Amino acid sequence: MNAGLRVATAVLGKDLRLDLRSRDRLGHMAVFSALVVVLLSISLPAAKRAAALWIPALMWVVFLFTSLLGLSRSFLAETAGGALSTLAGAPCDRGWVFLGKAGANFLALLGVELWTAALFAVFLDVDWAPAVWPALGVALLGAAGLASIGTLLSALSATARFREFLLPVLLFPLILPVLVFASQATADALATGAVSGLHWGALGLYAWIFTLAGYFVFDQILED
Amino acid sequence: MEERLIRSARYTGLLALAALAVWAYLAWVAPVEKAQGVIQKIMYVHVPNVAPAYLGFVLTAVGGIGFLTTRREEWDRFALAAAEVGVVFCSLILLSGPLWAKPAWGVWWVWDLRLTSTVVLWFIYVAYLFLRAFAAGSDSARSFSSIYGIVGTLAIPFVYFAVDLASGSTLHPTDPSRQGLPAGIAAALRSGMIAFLLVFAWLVARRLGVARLEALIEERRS
Amino acid sequence: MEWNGFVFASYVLVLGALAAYALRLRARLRALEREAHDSTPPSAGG
Repeated sequence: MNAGLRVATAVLGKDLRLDLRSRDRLGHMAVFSALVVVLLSISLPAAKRAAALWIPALMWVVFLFTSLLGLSRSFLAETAGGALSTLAGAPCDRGWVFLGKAGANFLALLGVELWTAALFAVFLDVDWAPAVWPALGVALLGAAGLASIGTLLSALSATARFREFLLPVLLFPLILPVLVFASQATADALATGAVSGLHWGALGLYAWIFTLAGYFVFDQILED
Repeated sequence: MEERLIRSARYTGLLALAALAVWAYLAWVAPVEKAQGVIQKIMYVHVPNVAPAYLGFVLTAVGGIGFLTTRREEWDRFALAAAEVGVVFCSLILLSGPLWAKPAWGVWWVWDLRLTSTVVLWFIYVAYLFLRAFAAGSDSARSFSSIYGIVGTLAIPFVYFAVDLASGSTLHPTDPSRQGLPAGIAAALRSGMIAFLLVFAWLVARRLGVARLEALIEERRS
Repeated sequence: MEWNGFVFASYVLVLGALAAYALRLRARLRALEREAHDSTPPSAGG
């Protein structure tokens, strides 16, 4: 197994263990999204809920805001001293470090997505049954897209001032496509039980391109 | 390279002035369109901002790539100049658009493909400038904003496609160059696009001059 | 050609903004040139 893959899995494993042991990141995200969904379910007019074509879009927006909590802490451990240099010592192409980090974020975000979808089922009467498999596919690709660009931008903003403001400002314009593709695809899945090839392609292409971008560019981030 | 660009400002500036004079004349004498009336003349001051706005962003990304590959700060200064001037033109699209839309179609704003994409571009510009301002230390600021410029440019085709998928109809007039436009109107429009591009080039050169002087002074202090 | 407030406003806005930005750049250039001149280290071997 080549050195890069070993480093990536090491980074991924370390981050996952941290997440599961401390439960800070995951716990905070779970509570936050639950809170928002409860707020929505109380304030949205009950009669409109079932007919709401925009429930999928709403879900993705809620998920996006929730993900900020997790993404902004992505490099917390590494920047304790104000620098990302601890990661730079990896004995390989540093892009693999990015893949490890993004992988950990992907898993965390996927978990949050499934949790949010469950909340929407319970509180906003979304019936996932006829659409489970396509919706799950959209969730996977959406999480991959968000994890890739989110991890990259989190690294860019990790040592900056006003990080809590900067990360969403950097992220939202670039993640808009995923928001649109995923919302439409989820809506299609709920309505017809299938997602169009166009949406699969768009989500897949986005995730692939930004994962590649993160891989190639991470070297430059760690150099400083 | 940077020196030459900065010094070219004088000639670019004069050319821009001449082009603006031509454009102003052509806009004035252009026939008044029947359907929209004189309102349509806002087109001559709205459309020419588009190319500079988008070009600015592409040049910012180019500057970013240049900096990351050569590590020469003049590339980064170029990126900054292109971004700052580009965001000005981008803002002007968004401000002049409603001034045309309201009298012509009765609404201040509409979420159509082109306006929406331009709004997102504006936010990407602004995010870039915030990152520059807030990044810790000038080295990080330079490489991180270079990266964001590149990643932002990668995202733009996706944004365009997504907005297209999301919105249905468009209130926006169809691309003027594709229809047959009366000669007077086409001439005014084309001269405007050339003039504004020249103004853009001139402003970038001037802004680059400012950045270079700032860098020189900073260097002397340390 | 009839007068129209929107047309007038749009031209003033766009041309005014570009002119204002250009003037601001000019002011900064002048200030920086002055500062650069003042801080020029004396030439060696005078």
